[in-house]
Amino acid sequence: MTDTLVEAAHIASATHRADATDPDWVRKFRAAALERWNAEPLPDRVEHLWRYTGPERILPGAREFTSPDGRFGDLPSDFADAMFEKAAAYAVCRDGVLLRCAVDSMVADLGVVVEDLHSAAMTKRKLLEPHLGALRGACDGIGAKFDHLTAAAFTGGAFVHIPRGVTLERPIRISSRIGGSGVLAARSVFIVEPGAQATIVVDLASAEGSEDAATMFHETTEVFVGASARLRIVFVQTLGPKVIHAPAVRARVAHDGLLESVSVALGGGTVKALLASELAETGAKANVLGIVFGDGRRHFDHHTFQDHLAPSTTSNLDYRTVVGGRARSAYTGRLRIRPGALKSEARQRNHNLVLSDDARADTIPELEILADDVSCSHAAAVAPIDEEQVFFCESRGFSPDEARSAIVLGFLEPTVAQIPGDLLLARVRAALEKRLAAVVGAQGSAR
Amino acid sequence: MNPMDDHPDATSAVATSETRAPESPTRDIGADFDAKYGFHDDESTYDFKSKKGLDHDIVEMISRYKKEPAWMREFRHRSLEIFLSKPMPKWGSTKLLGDIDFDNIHYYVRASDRQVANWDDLDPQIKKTYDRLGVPEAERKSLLSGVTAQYESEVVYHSIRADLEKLGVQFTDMDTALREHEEVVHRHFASVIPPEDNKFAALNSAVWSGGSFVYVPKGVKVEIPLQAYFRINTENMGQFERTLIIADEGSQVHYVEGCTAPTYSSDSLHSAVVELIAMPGSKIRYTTIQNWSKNVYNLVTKRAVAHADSRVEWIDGNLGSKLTMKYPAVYLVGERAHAEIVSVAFSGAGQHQDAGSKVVHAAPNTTSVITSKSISKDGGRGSYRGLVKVHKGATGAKVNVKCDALILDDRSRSDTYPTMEVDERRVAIEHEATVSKVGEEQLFYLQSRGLSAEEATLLIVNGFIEPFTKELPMEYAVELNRLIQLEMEGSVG
Repeated sequence: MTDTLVEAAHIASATHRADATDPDWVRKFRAAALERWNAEPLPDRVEHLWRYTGPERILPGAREFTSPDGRFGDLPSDFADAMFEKAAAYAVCRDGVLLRCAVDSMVADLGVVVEDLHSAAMTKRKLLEPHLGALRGACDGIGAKFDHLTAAAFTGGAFVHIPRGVTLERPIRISSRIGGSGVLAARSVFIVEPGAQATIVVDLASAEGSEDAATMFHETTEVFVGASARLRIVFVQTLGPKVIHAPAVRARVAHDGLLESVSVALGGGTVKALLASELAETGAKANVLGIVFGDGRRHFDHHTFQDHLAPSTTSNLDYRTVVGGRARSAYTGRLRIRPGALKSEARQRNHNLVLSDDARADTIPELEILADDVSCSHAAAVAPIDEEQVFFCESRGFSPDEARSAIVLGFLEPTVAQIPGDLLLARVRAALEKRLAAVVGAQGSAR
Repeated sequence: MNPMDDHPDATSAVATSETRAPESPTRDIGADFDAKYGFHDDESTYDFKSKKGLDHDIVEMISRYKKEPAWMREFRHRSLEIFLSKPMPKWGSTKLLGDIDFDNIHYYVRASDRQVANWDDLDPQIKKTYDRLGVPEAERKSLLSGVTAQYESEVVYHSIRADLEKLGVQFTDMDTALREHEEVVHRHFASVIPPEDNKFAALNSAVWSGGSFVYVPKGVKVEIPLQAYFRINTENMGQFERTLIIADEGSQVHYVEGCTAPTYSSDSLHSAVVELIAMPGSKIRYTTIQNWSKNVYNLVTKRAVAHADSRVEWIDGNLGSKLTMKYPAVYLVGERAHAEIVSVAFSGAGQHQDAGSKVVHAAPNTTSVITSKSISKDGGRGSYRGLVKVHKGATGAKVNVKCDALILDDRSRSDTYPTMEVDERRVAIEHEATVSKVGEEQLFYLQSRGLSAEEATLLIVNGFIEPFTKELPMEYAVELNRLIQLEMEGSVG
């Protein structure tokens, strides 16, 4: 009980600390969120969303909210080459705060904005206010409790705005580092106006020297894809093994818009992730890809929700999970076709490869279909590596470990290949191979 | 908020259905259910009926009236405590569950004081009701073996064919079994489903009455299906039958339970507990088609324990009731045990079929196959809710789950809530589900061959549930087809 009181006090003081430099409207926004946080009970574990990861695991509890560090440390090794051959804009964030952003002047001339949410709040109220918090109620208001938390206490976050009709060939890169042992909260807003096209790559890792820190990071990202706009978002997460990461992405896709989301979760100690997409208008489409790679004692819990509100909407979801060591993954997903969302198509796939005896994979792919003229399906599978495939590879000269690694990498490749940026892709591949070698090697010697 | 709550749009859609143009070929289906099945007897001839409501006095009275041994009486009282202390489930249809008024239900009704040995000796009024259901014809067929006709809470008619008795097969109602085979009943009763399992299992444990007891001795193969008919007749009367089937080593039995209840205006509660015990090498098939009238709450706990090399099959059809929450379960506790669950659910206007299945793999090389078919129409809601759990050490387990749903109009709803919890690496788990409507192209093709839209739709629906129908005994397949036709009727002409 005292923990709850301490927690409430911490959140309140974090809110007040954060709003010191806020404009009035943001101060009000925070205050309302703080009230909702205090009023809203913790979600019930009877809901599938919380079945495998009780909400108390991502509660701040007695932890203090920390002020952002303000130093990024060494710039990422690919920062230089990103200027600007491979990126339209490059931003670095520390503890959620967008510290620096370099935008190609040609891109800036088009009106593209990439900046910290706080500075956007000061100068772009008209643009930001209608969007900030606008998707809280999306998909049944799922995970709303923690939306209140980031809304009240956020100290950072990115604001990206792509004006109408602008097509960016190169991605917007956001490199984000977190550290410390306290609680961090961030909110980001990405707006892609009608007819615009962009790719945003968010690469999140523990800051140098903080690899073993038990940072708790709550972040909420609201994504607006306008009519006939296309947005691809790639999240790559390689956090340290003790981090508690609770990201929530809420997206709304308008008429004929396309959202492509690729999330790669390789790190973190406890990860409770939510990806909720509303296909709000006719012809809206979402392609949702994800991979999860868990080793050690990592705990991953990913929830996806595609809500089809309008006719002729399409969603394709493919989540692939690999767990080894004593890692555990839970995937829960829901597909809903609302009444009247006729001619909609929805696909949901969740495949799980279990590499070790102590790893565990749970899956609940749900369908709620309230319209008749639709085509929906889902499939889920849980299995070890197919020994016949291993045998085949061995017959071609692979060692057993090489064969297993190749099969796992092949299983993940369709999603990994979606990561733009040679250096980031190379980093992800290297991380995967290194971690996989450890898992497969350990399994091989135990065999 | 609970994501499994009834979607508000689903209910409001039902309310507006009357104003719609009758373009759907499936509209008004089942409108004549009352005329065909809505008969009921005059209740005043019943010789015993408990007062409404539930407390320790009622439980004591039921137990004393049945002259039960002390352990059963204590079991009932303990179960009542559990029932009272457990909260309502927070999933399924919480709205409909919340509507149940436990104080407005008769927990025990006895239709007739006699156990009759011959069909012709049955009370004429009861007999008339059964005649409408076609029971005598079924019984006369040499295909069928024993018939336990459960009319109200107690078995009133019971005949066991001489050859079954010769084989040593026990097939009696549960109350008789408690008197005549107390030791066996005491050993197995509630061993598969303890009253702590869930609120409705606790309720049944407190007030159970009737149901079947089957014991098949070692190595005995019962060639012909054992059948029991269940009926609810008294308004606001709960029916709480309790069935226990034990197939000893190497034996085989097929048990068939069918239900067709007359319609009433206020809600009736049916909460059965069915326990199956499949000893090593045995095989149990349990076939149910429930067609409770559309105001019945059907909240049933069915579970089997399957020992090594045994095989348990649930063949489960759900047509009637207002709300069904039923998830036949198999606990595979012995090596190479196999579970097969084939189900079909038909949800019409105002109905919610929350059915599914549950398989727990707790031993190596166990296998399970789940096939679920659901049809929703006229604003009905069909939900598949399943659990597959593989425990550590259940290496080589194989699971295949396939759920298909057909939605016949835009007011209806279909949900799939499968849960797979896998704690063992060396397994193969597969789940697949599809939801669609009757294909325009299929309809067009059939119509080009001279079928009307209604006939074509019926043919497609029958084809859709064929994996289920083919598992039924012949008379049941015929009855099911007739019931589906009845449900689909109304569009012809």
